[in-house]
Amino acid sequence: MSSLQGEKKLEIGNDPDFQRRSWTAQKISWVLLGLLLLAALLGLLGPGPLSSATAGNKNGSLWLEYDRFTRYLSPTTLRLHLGAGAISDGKARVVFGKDYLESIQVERVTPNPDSTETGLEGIVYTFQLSGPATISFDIRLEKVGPQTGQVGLAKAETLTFSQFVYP
Amino acid sequence: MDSVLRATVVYLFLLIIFRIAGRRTLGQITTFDFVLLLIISEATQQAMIGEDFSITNAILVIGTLVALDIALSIWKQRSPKLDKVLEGVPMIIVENGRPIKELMSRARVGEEDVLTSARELQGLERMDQIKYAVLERNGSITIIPKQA
Repeated sequence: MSSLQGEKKLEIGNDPDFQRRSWTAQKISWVLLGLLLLAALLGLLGPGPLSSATAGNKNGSLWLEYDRFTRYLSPTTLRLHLGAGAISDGKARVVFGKDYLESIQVERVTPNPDSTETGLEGIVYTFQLSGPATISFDIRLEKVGPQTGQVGLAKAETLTFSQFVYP
Repeated sequence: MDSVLRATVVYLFLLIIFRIAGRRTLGQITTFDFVLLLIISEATQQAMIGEDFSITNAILVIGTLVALDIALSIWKQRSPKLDKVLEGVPMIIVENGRPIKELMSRARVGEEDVLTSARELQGLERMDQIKYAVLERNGSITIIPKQA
């Protein structure tokens, strides 16, 4: 090859073999970078289509919308749908599991709960409701890795859900 | 602990991403490249600082970055192989006035770029006045003219 003659005359330490290998590595890395971005668009690295999940029966008295994948300290929302069966005497009592509470910061609860009490199994939020409602919990996860959450109605059904938190 | 880890991860990621982007990316900075650099630095900053705006954190992040840079430069000096992997190798792209097209297209360098460097550095007018053009490790093109 003609550039080999140049190697003799020019003292530059070129290395055609290495150059070719690094181009190959570069092309492979481009593909990997593309896959990373694709995964992110699909929601495998944070909120997105494949990240949205639900727990519970949509026609039942309680079901939950959440993100399977979220990131360290980034905002995410748990949307809790309460059916007519969840309300007694115009009140709904929602219990958050203690373990999960230790790994989140609760930023805001809409609508505002009437009262919150700390019990043995976690925090109990009491809402005054006249009919089926959706309650949003804006939270941030402050632990990295897989997390299991529990949310339910006091003395009734409990939903368990899992989230993965990226650093 | 957090600050040091954050800075290390960001440093290594940037090292890899600019290496795989290829040397043309930073070699000849166009106006848009410059803007891109600014945006990248902005996005990087958030990840490195997090929500800790203390001076201690800033000192730790800067310290980590500089320490990594020193460590890597020492390591590169001792290991020519690592040096190659991180910095790449120079490459002859024009020989005796003949552009080596295959290499140039793979390195994303045009004949126009070579001629620009030839004018800039040596005041040359035509491709056939160039003995060698070398794409250097830092992405610039150096020119060796034919003896008159």
